[in-house]
Amino acid sequence: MPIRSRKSVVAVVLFGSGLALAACGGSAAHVVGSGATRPTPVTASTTTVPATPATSAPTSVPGATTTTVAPVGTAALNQLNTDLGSVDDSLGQANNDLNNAKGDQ
Amino acid sequence: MTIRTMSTRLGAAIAASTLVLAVPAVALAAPGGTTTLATTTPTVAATATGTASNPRCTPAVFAAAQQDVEAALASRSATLTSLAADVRAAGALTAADRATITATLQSTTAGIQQLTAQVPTATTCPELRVDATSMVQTYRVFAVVAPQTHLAIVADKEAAVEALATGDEPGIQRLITTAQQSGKDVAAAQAAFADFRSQVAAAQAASNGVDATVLSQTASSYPGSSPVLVDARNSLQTADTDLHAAKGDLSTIVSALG
Repeated sequence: MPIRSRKSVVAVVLFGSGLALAACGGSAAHVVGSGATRPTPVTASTTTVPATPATSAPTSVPGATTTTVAPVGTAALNQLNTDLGSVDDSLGQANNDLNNAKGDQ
Repeated sequence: MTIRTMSTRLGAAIAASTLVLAVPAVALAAPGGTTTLATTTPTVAATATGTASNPRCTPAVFAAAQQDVEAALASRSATLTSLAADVRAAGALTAADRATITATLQSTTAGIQQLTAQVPTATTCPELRVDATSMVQTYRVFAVVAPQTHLAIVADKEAAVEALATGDEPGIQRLITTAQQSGKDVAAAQAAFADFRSQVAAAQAASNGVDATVLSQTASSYPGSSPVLVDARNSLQTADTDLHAAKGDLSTIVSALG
């Protein structure tokens, strides 16, 4: 294997591992490897998707880009989907309040 | 008593009862939404002949009216309990907003509880009117407290989502770059990412400061609080739409890189 290829593989593995570690730690699975302190997610996440890269990344070197990116991106998408569902619920409650305030008018 | 007289009396009784029951929350409130309890002068007063100036509370229907006020108070208590639960469950609320809302809910709950204990001891329509007026005008549970609580929750949830999305941006860019370096066509992902950033920024602009605006409203702000709260709702709805668009962009990115 050429040196350049080996470097690329190592970089991908490290990147994938970083994503996995970041995703598994902290407060949520909503991580795409930014490395920054994560804000508290809107909803408590029980997503188990981040566990996948932690176990798969070291054994899928050539295809790490494909096999790692998709699960982590999916985890972020799932978290965003869950959070927006929670936002929509609260927005619906606020709408209901505004439409049913006649008891005070 | 003639049949005609009985019929008339029965009709009047039904009408009076229906009127009281139909509008429990405002049945005894003084007209005009801006009068405060301190300055309210009850206008309903039973006369020596048993008639009253306002048909919504007369000696004849006092018991029913009292029950209506008690029911209206119970409804407000239930709403306040539900709001407190919503606040406890809203993990994205900032500490400051949580403290503000909690203080409002606690003081409002205490006031409603005091009225709940007081109303059963009322014996006249004027007494009942004072309590009913206070219930509505002093606390505005439905018109101010409930919507401001839920809108503040929405605002802080959206802010949290926006922060998460913004925090994801460097990582998303790295994913795209990595995919590009591996020979993948990332044009669609890059375009979606550009829109993702734009949508998140638009959401931030729309929702920024809304929590402070809604929480600055008080019962005494009513009726001026109503358009403020509606505007806040509209801004948060706009942010919500932007965030859903961002979610669509992220979905596109995931598909393009998958």
